[in-house]
Amino acid sequence: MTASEPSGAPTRPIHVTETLVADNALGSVPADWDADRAVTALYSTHYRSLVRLAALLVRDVATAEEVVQDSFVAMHGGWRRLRDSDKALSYLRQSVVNRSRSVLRHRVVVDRNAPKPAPDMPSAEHGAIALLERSAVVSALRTLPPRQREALVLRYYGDMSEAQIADIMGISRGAVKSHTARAMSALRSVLEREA
Amino acid sequence: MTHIDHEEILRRELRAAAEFIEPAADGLTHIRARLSAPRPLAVAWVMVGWTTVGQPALVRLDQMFEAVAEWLRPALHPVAERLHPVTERLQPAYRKVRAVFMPRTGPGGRPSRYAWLRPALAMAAVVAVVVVGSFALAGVPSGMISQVGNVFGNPAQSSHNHGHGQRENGSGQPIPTQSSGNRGASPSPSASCSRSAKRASSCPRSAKASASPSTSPSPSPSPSPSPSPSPSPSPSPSPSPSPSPSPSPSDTGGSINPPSSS
Repeated sequence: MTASEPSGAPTRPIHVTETLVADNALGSVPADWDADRAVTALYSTHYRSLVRLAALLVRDVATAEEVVQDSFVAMHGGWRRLRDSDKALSYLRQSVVNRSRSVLRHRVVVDRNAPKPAPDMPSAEHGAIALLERSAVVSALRTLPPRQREALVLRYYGDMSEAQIADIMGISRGAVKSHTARAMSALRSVLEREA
Repeated sequence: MTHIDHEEILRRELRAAAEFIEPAADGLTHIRARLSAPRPLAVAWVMVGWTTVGQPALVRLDQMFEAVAEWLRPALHPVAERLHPVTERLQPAYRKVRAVFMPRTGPGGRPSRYAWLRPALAMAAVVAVVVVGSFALAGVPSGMISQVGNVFGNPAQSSHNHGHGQRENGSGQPIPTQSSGNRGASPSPSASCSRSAKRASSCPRSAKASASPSTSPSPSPSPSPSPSPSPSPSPSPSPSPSPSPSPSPSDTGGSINPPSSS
């Protein structure tokens, strides 16, 4: 999908194995498959990339795994209502993004009401987050608003088109462009330092 | 430093960060455990209902049937004795009819001439059952209703009133009924049912979140129901099939192998 994307840069390298595999053909399952079989097939193909996507959004691997597992369970429950089995991966991605957003929203409330920990006591998830945010760019990503972060992650980690991002985030393409541009301008100083 | 370079840097950094993220290999096991796990609170409620209401009701129903049978036995015995001569008289006729419809052999060892009647009657009975059943399920056709209305008087008025959903006041002006307008305002049970059916997949989670102890104080409303609800002081009603919510790898049927974590 990224290669055939009309608005994308043609010289952009494509690492299909590590990206979210935006191609629908790889995310589709035959229509006559039952939910168990579809979950198994999609798990074996996309679980890791979905966990990585969720981890970039929620900054916690354990929570990311939980989010993705929730999404698989939800897809299994709604398999009969899923009209187009070709869109199973799209459904999963959307579910992951929405649930990650819910996690972040919940985390904001929890952090607001939680007592401050002692400064010499790192939290349990501190190690995972620190591992994830070794890069200055990724840690700067944390400072962005959630929507801008989602747009950047879906765009540059998921290699998705603006239309796909708009579909997943439930916003218009113009809003995707706006979020991406603002996020890039916010990250510009960090990116130039990295370059 | 162009914009393309920024995109490349961001893409490279994101992928490098994602390289370190390796999900656990038992993800599918967790998913399947959550799919196969019973809904704990619902199961606890069913168990409580069965032990407190279902089993005693079944026992009482059995006792009641036995008592009724004992009470009816002396009353029905004289009736059976009175009907005995009638049944004795009907026995030869019954045997004749049975012999006619027996398909195998006639009196001389040949197949009966009327043996074909048996499957034909069976087919006719099936067709009759299907027709009657379809009429019962689909309801009586509206044309038949209107014809019956025509036969039994003032058909035009009744069909007019039913058709437009209006009544007439004393001066003949139509009074609009609130059939359509009020339906949306009033809380109809069907709407709530459809809404709940729409969210059927999230039902257990919502039930888990709000354990609703106000409906009955008997079961413990904790989100993780212990397998022995024992809500009443009845002698150990806990059937304890233990709906263990903890996912164990053993209860996932082994047709699916978790992918190798490379």
